[in-house]
Amino acid sequence: MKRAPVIVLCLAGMLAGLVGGRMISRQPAAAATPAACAAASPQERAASEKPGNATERKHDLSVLVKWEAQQDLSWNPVIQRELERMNASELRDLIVEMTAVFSDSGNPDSRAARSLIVQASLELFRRDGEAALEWAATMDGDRELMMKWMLGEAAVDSPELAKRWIERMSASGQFHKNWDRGIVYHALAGATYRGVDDLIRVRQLYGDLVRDTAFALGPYPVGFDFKKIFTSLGGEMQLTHMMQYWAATDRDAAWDSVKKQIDAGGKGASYSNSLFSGVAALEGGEQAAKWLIPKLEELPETARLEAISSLTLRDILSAESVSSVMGSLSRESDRVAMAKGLVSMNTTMGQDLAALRSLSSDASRSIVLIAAANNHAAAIPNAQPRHVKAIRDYFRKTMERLDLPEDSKTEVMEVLDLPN
Amino acid sequence: MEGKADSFRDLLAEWTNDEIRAALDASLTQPDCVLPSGAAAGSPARLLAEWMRRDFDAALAWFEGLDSATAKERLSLVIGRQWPADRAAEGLAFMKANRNLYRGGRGWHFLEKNLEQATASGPQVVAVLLLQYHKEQLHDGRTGPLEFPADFDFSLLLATDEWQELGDDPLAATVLHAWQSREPDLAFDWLLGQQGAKSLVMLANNYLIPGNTSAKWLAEKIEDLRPEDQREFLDAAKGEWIKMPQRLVAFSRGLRDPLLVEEIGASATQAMFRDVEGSLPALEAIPGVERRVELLEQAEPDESLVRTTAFREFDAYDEALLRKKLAEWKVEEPRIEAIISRYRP
Repeated sequence: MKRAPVIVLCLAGMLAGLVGGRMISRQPAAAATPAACAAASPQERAASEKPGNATERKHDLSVLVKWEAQQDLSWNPVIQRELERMNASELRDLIVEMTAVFSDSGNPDSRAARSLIVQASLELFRRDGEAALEWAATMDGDRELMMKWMLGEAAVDSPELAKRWIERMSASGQFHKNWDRGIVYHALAGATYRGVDDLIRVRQLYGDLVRDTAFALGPYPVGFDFKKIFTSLGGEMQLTHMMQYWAATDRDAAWDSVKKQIDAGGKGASYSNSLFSGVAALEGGEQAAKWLIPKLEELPETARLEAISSLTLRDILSAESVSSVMGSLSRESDRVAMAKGLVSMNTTMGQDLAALRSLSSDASRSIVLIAAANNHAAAIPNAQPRHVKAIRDYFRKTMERLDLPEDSKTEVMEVLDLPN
Repeated sequence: MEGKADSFRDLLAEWTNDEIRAALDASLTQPDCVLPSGAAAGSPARLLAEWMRRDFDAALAWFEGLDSATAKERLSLVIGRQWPADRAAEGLAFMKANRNLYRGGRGWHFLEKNLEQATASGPQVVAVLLLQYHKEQLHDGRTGPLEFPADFDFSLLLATDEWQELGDDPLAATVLHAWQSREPDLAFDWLLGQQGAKSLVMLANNYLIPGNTSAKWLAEKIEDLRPEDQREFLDAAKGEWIKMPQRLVAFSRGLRDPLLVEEIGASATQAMFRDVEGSLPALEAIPGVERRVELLEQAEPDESLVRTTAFREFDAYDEALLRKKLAEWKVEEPRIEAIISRYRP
């Protein structure tokens, strides 16, 4: 009897309870075990690169940081050991066999089979390299699944090879839209770890395949040149996560670069939310507001309003931070502009009320609420009745909490009084 | 076999609680631990969870004593998730006292633990609790799945006065999904009788059912409805599913009636303005190629339904896919061009 079928049942059973686990690693193989990750802060990470370091025996945060970096790439170790004992032929048999299980959606082991295909594909690629890709490209079954993972592995160290295969398989027209997204992510993550020059090179190599949301996501290696990447690409891409991390580690350098871009007519003001959240993550919203808002107040009006608008995006600020920021803004017109970006029934964490309460007059509150009501009113003619009711209830309750004058309440509700 | 959480616990096995606390304190000022792009973004939550498991009261006191509102907010979900089930009522009080941390459905773990505890006391107790959540909007309109005991009597819960007051609160759908996963036909009949055919749309997507086969199951049930109920259901379903092509496709897979297959296929031509790849299988469920092409040739985007959130721009990939499909169906070139020009923005 061949080894594969026996092990298949065993592994599929073992995996059944695991498949809810993380399928996409946060970090490329190249970044998994560097000594630099053994320490918590970038400074400590740099220090840990000295020989003779014995962080494993310590009971402190540095050990956990190292563990996180390793764990994100480690699959089930028991299964991994079994796969490592199999030769390439057995791995191929296993994949073929698991493909049959995976393609039968009624089979209770289908999801476990998927995990096995992924893990065995990765192992096969490590053994056979491009020959494994050639095999996967011609076999029956879910080629896309195997190729995605093999190429993700390849892309970390060999972005050129991965790009060539992305083009080849995309041209075949057999794969789904955006099938290459994870591969590009791995290529960028690998390049990030090698440093800024490589990251810029891979960005150019992959061109339109790179999306802002997947670019320079971190983790960042010791000595990562934030200034260089921002100067090179911060104008054409939105480097949100990178700027956040940079602000957390070297806020003044981060601000200097943003300010230079604003002065040059670039889109630097849109980074205000990253600057704020990077500092706030370590020191809280109040300190972040104290640091950032005076700087924003000195900007010309257009850039200043863009920066304020950026602070209202995507729940970046908690309700407390909204109060801190608005309390630091000296112009009521800026506070009104900020509140307009935050008052919406889609706001989930109380930022809307915090913003309205931070305004200095009922007149300002009315202006903001009327603007918000106009935004929501556009949806009313085509909305479901229960949605219309929810919109009106939101404004009614919000105004009750603020104890607005009756004529202001009436004026706001009139905006929403549209046929449905 | 061990998962990531177990592995982390193993790593901490030799650590004292004081060491865990010291690491937690240190993590609060480390960019790699507090930012999503950090190398160890998961560590603080894991440390706190382990400490709560070992010494809940000490860990909670540490959390409550945090000066940083930002740190509290970041870790607040761990508190809810790890809160001991046998102290659920205390947890609910904690959540209500800290509403600023638990807005937007973030307090669901507390509500879930209390509800699951209430299920042991019977339907009436559950009904009272659900109504409390509803009146105080503790869930902010957001819910998660609930576990009910195997012998829980859903029909008694749904007969209570409190249940009637819930109206269309998502809490009601959460309970009905749990019932559907146990007794699908009873849940179907209750909804049809009490809330009308349009309310059955909610039964098309239920992750509590293994493999989420609910849409296919529902299609078979809908085919057996009276024509007027069927119409009410289809009008409501198409309005919602045009934004969720995967639902259209799953539903069409359960249909046998050719007229219904065609009607859902026609909706797919609408949904294709949002997502060509995701919607095509529902159109392909129509057996005749010519009819599919006719529907594509008549497709007009309904702006109110199509161009909303999650709209996916018809791009080069979509165009290539649609051209390929039409060529496979042996459609003449001018007709292909006419169809493509309809979908191209």
